[in-house]
Amino acid sequence: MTTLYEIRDRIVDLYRRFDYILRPLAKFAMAFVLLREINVSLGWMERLNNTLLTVIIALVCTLMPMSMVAAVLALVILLHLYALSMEAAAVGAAIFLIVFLVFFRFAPHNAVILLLMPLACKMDLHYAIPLAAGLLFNVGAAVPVALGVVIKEYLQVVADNSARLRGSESVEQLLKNIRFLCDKMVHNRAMWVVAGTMAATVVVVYFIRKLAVAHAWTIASAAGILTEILIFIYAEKHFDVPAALGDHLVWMLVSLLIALIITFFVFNVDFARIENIQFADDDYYYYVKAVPRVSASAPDRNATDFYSEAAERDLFDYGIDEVTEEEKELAGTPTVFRDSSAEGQPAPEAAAGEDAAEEDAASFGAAAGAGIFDRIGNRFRAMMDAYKQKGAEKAAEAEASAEEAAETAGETVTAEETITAEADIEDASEEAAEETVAADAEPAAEDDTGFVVEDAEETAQAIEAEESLGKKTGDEV
Amino acid sequence: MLNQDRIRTMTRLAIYEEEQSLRDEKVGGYFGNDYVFSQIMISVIAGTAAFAVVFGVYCVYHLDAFVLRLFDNTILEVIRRWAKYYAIFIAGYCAVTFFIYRARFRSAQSRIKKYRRDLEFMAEEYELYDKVNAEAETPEAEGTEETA
Repeated sequence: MTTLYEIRDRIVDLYRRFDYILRPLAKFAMAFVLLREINVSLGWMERLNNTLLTVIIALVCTLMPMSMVAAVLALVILLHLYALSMEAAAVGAAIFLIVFLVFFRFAPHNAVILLLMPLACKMDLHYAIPLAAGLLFNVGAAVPVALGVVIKEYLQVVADNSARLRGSESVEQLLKNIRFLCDKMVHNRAMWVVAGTMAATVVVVYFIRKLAVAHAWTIASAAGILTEILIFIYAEKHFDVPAALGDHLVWMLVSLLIALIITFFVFNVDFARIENIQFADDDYYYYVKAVPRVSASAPDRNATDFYSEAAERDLFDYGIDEVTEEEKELAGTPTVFRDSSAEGQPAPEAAAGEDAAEEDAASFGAAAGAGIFDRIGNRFRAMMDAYKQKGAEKAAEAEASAEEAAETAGETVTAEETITAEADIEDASEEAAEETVAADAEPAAEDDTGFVVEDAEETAQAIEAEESLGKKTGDEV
Repeated sequence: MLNQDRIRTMTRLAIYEEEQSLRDEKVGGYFGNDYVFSQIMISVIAGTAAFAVVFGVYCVYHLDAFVLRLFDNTILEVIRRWAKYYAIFIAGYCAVTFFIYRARFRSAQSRIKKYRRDLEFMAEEYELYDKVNAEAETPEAEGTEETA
């Protein structure tokens, strides 16, 4: 199972890295396959059957939003229908107009479902589309799923009766053909049952997967398939629609498998580690159920000592030159897990012995369930406390050195005045003392983080500022 | 040291600006009722056009009977019946439009509010950063002047 998670994470990572190529590529592939399928199954306008033209149209579709792609494909279909007969094109245009005017006004982003539905029907995978739509889209996806069935059925009717529809010369024949097509569509019970079933499946899957129950997505997929089976059985009994469940059962199971694969990639959580948390603020009580995501542990994760070189470098960033034994004790148990790949080289402790690393990795696995992040957070807070303590010591040292420098400067200036013996000794020594104190005290009071302090008050302000920054950083972690 | 809160907020802002902000700006330019009303008007036009298509197909399908009714002066019955259908269809379509676009307006408003809150957070962060930098630089400058 871990291997599967790793493969999934790699695929997701690959998609994230190259999505700017993969998305247009997928769009191009989908448009090309759909155009090719239209040309093969309809193909009455020979000019459109040219492969180069198909590639060009697919390329243009790549640059368009999905709703526009749907419009382009509808236009190609209408051109093929027009080449066959005007009445087929007229009825087709009426269907597409209703679809675009009524439905696409609300959900143009669901056009992909409408496009995929006829293709899936061709591959006998049309049971998978309502499951996927219910899992990945909202309840409004029921409409394009049903409309996809209607459009596919209309094209099937035209293709099956192409000989009858071709070349009607009289108006009477034309009207007869229109009536024929309308009758075939309106009185096609099987089509309405399938469209209704697909729409109902989307609604069932959507509402079940939104429930706050464990394995909601899996239950929703299974319930979707069950809904399809039950409606088909009911329709066979009451509407005389041949369900042919025996033929379709295999494809339904394949569709369920596809839905499970989608769940694995999109919503993969570990229900064994659900945490129920309760807390409250002034306005509300919160009852929170937290379900952790499942992800494969990074293969290059190594166990290192808390006070490794890298850790000490981090401490140095916070203004701590060296760590005393007392601070180590304050910081708690000395093992923490660090992703050495981020630093470009394995930590020395990890390289020292494989056994130690394995032990640490095992303890990491055990600790993961008990809240490793809390432990790391506690250690970081302890580190920050040590840092604050160190800062306070530095400030005290700075203050002491400032006082010392003032005394030394007074003595030096007095000696110089004695040699020259020309100025007023007391005034000169006072002025010189002030200047020397200012000049000498500054570097002594400058701390490691770059804050310059002159006197005790400013030292305190600087420490406060540092502490607020340190606190912020600690909160972030 | 990178400020992770700031990076998260900036990423969120960038994603929002890339994907949603243009659409939300259009919505945000309206009062709630005006926005929903304008969408209902568009729905009435689109719905009427779609209904006209259906009625056209019906007319062609029943062309013979339609012509006969025209001569019998019973065409008004048909028109009245279809007017009733039209009213029911448009009422339903407008109701759906009302609920969908009211929900969209509310979600756009909440996104805009969140976006502004993130912007304010960024402004505060930069203010704090400038303040700390200024405090760190001021004594140094004073010290240099005095030494000179």
